[in-house]
Amino acid sequence: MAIVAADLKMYLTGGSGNTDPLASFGGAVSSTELTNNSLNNLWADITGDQAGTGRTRYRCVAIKNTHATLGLTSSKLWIDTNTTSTSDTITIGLDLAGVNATPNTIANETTAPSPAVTFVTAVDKANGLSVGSVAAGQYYGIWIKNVVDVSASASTANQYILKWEGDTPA
Amino acid sequence: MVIYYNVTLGSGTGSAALLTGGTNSRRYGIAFLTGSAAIGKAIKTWTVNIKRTGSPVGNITCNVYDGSTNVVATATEVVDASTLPTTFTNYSWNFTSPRTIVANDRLTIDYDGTTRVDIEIYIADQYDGALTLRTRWNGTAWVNGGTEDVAAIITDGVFVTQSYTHKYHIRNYVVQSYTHIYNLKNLATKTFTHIYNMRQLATKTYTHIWNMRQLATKTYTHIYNIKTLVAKTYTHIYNMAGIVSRTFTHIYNARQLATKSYTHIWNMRQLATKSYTHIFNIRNLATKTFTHKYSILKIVAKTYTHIYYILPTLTQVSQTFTHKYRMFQLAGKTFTHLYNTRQLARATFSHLYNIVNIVTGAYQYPAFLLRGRRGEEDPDLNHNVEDSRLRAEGIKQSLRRRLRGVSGRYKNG
Repeated sequence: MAIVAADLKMYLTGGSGNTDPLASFGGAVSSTELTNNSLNNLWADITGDQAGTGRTRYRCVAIKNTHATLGLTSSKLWIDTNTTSTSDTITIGLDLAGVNATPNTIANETTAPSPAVTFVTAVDKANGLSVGSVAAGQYYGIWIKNVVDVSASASTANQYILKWEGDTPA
Repeated sequence: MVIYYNVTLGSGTGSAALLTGGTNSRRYGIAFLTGSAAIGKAIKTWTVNIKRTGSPVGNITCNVYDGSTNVVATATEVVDASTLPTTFTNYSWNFTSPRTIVANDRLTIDYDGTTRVDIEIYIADQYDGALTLRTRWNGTAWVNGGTEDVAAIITDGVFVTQSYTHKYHIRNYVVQSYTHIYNLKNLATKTFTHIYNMRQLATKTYTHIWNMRQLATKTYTHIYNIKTLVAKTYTHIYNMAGIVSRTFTHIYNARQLATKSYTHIWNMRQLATKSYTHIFNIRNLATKTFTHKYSILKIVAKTYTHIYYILPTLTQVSQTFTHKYRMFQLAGKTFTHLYNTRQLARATFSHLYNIVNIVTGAYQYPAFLLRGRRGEEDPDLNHNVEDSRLRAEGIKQSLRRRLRGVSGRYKNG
């Protein structure tokens, strides 16, 4: 049976036992899958102070092909919809470790990964990150950068949508 | 996209030719027969390995034919056969309107030109047995293969896509500002600068230089016009070599000074009298210090030795010796007057000098005063003393002779 969308999952990083989305700072891939489309499933709310001063923060997640046998090919990851708020944006970048390799780690959410990851706006598939082939059971580390502008306006349930797409054998 | 036909490209075991003429293949591809596993799937993309042999001329197209040989779908891409490489290379065709496969549909590349275009195939079955197999159009009819399959990948155009939605709030301040407006009248800090002239308020140094020869009494008279008496002390300090330091303390009362006059008057022998009048008009008086400086050079104490005889029978007389001398090399003098200009008063300064070697002697008559010559330009009185000593020695011998004569007369009678 071909790979289906449900086979393509997103996991936290921060250690195999990490269950806290707010500590998804790279390192070993967690066994905890990110809860899709739910509030604070990766980011904490931006406080009034942070909205006032602006804030740049980072997360690392792992997109994983959980199909038992089939590999995903020619896959790309892009930002299908950027943030609903006009006061912040996200960009994404591939971890430098590559496919099925433990991503780099950062000390806290405001620390940029080093060596530097190339963050792009990836507005569509054509401009998306080339994740390429991900064999059955393998993953790829993805960095997400959220920049909240100075004096950001309040926004309830601010959200964005990432999309991972590839080819699958039947 | 879902790849439902995947016969590996690049590993084929044979090739088939497309070229015009005779029963040569003008179309070459896949036939989906009844029961084929691909039936019901969409044909979105088709990728095959093709190459040229010789110098083909014409276009290569891609079509889907139904069982009645009608074209039911056409791929977007058209490939110029003359541009093909001579080794197998992947070429893909995309269908804008994917054809959902039904039984007896055929997916082919079409070339009806000169020698020639080759397509990669497998001689042995690779996919779905005899239900899905290679087919070709020989100009008049479809000819299906037995166990051969075309090396190709067919996808349905439906991607495997997963979306991830991350949500969070952005909070913001609720801020209210209150503005209170009021007037401030004349409450600012101001600095007033008063500019005025002060006449002669700077420190001044007056240097009085004069020669003092045989200086005796000096009188300094300071005359003040005063208002509102206040106690005041003036201290004049002199350092006169050979005379030791002296301190002159002037104590008087003063009253808020207005105009002042200072008159310094003293007598100097051989230099006549000099008067210095310092007149100040002081407005907005502050404390002032006037410094008068002077030096006294080479004033030395001197001792004069006077030798004389006193005859025991002579009448005692009083004798006063006045020694006058010159004070050489008195040059600059400095007087330091310190005062509070609001507290000036009248004061009189008396300077007293002790003159060493003023001798008061008692002499019996006949007394012989030993006098030295007064050398106007020679202060070395020892020379005079020696001269006096020699005279005294002669006198002494004369006296002895006289005494011997008197004694002889006493003895004789």
